[in-house]
Amino acid sequence: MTPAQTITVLPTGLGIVDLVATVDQPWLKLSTTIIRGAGSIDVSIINPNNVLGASPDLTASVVIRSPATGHSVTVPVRLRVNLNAAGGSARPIGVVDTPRHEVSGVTGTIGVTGWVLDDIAINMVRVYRFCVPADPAEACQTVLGYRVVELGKAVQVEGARPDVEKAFGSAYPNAARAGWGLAILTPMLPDVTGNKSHGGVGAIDLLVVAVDAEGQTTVLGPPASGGHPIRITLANDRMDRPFGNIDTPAQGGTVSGGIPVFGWVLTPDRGDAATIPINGSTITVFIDGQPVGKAVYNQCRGTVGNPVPTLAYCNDDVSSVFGHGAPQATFTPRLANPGMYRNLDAGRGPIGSFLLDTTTLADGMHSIAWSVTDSLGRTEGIGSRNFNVMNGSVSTAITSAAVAERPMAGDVQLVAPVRARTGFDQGEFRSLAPGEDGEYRIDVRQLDRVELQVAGTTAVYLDNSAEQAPMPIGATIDTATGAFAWTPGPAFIGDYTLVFTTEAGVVRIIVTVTPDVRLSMR
Amino acid sequence: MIGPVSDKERLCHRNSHFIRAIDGLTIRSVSGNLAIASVRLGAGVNVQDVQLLVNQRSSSEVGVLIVGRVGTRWPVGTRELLVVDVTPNSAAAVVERLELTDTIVIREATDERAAPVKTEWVGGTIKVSEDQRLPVSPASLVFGAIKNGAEGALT
Repeated sequence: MTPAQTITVLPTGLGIVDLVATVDQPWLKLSTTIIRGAGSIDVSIINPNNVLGASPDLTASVVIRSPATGHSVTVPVRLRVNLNAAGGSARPIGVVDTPRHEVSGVTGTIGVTGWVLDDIAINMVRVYRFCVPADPAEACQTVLGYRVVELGKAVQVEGARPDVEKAFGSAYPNAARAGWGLAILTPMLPDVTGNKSHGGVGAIDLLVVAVDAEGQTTVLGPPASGGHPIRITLANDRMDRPFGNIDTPAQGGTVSGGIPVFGWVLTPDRGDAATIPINGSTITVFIDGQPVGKAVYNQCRGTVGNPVPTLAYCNDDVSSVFGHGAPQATFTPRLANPGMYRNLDAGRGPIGSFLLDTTTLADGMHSIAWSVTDSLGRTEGIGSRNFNVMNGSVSTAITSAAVAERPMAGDVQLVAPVRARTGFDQGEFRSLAPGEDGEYRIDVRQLDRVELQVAGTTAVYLDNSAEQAPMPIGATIDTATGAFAWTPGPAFIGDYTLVFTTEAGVVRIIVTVTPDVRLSMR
Repeated sequence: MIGPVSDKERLCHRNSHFIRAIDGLTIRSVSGNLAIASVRLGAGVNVQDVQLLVNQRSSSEVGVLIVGRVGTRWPVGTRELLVVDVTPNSAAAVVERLELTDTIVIREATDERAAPVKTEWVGGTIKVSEDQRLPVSPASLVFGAIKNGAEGALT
């Protein structure tokens, strides 16, 4: 059956009061019946004395009430029971929205993105690539008859697909978490043309498999395709900008306290002597779209020492792939740098780090990314991902976001000065004008960054027809200036209507997250 | 409600023989936490006798002029000459000072004998309480389960 689901309650204006939760049916079980102030309740299904009987579709309610103030809220619950166990439950349904099938010229980091639902529960979504001749046999496994190498487990992100939630929310469990995504650094994929294990060149087939709670599988494919592998053609041999990855925190990983954020970055020297400044001054760490500091760069996690001695060559995992004529095993000694990456020259290293204090963040999911600018002024976002913070407390940040007042339907849509900028280079803002339909619109690439400024903003929420819709994951608002920043991480794709509440009314801005398939400029 | 609290009948006039400016004032939310939503004549005024002129300088400041015909009189104890609606600019609780000043016109408030009458507008504070709500997320839940017929165990 569907595992327990969580109801979060965040009272406003009531002070610290006891909240009492009750259910009206014996087949609903609550993890607790009393909450002081704000908190969460896990709701699960039980069947004492077979109270469910032969009913295939049941409804119930969870009522949360403040005896002191008289306020209460009702959460309707629907239970759909498949009474034909012999026939089993349904398989997962869903699609892969990005990358598009048969797209070519792909470089850098891409987001593998889509949505998935199940009548009971989704266990996981895994992303594989087909094996190629350069792969050692032991690296491959057989999945659904295909010989593949696993690339990673996609992260399901709450609120990432309001379109899917709206369409299926009344019929499928956990529709709010239907969106999934995994960022893939394509230079780390095989060079099929050159028959190398790394380099990211040539045609690669991706296999995306959804697994439900009963172990049933579905191959996810492009919309309306019925599901099949996705073919992309890589062109990283022509890549002309910085690239790299964040190693920690892992995609979807859970962290607490102070954590070191490790990653690596390189930029190709194609005869132009391009390099990344070794003092880390051009590597900026972004949390939820806001810059929080600079990384410490020019480090090595190999066996030659850190920092790398003046005449030595770093031999860590990254250097072993990109610092030889062909990829070598990690820690293979390097005596020169035949590659095109100047940050792997003698006395240098590709690793960067940043100490992140997660206690300054609210518990829950956040986004992290680095921006890297090389000596030629080329800027790229690196390693964009979502991760979970769990410090055991609800900070004021999430509280204020979650309870942002939802304007009434009749609130006036303002024509107000709106400024915007996209990208990690933090360039000039530009004025945003409403379209002919009166709506403000802006496009942002998936895994990229957008900033929006609306004068007098007091709160921002995501309009997804829900009663309460906090800002999307990976977004923040500066409560002092009203400036909004968002890094749409993996899983976000499509239109997101953001509503800025101001002193005089509301401003609706439609942010369209477009597929992050960067084509080589060379 | 805003209006003069008189201890005797008053007649206010200005220089014109045809139009009398009964009084004028500005109303301002000192810290800008309140927006002036509307200004209208109150129940204590016969709309046939007076005219209301409003000039909104900003969302938080408005100028008001009440104009009456010669001979307009208000009985002793008249209240609610003017009703001003204000709305808070955010859902957060706030205590805001509402300032009443008298800078639009040079007021000439006089009694029946045209003797000046001391008139004083007094500002005050408005306490805005935070909206009281009990929001939950998600707004609804859907569960699925498998059961082997009416008697089977739930899985």
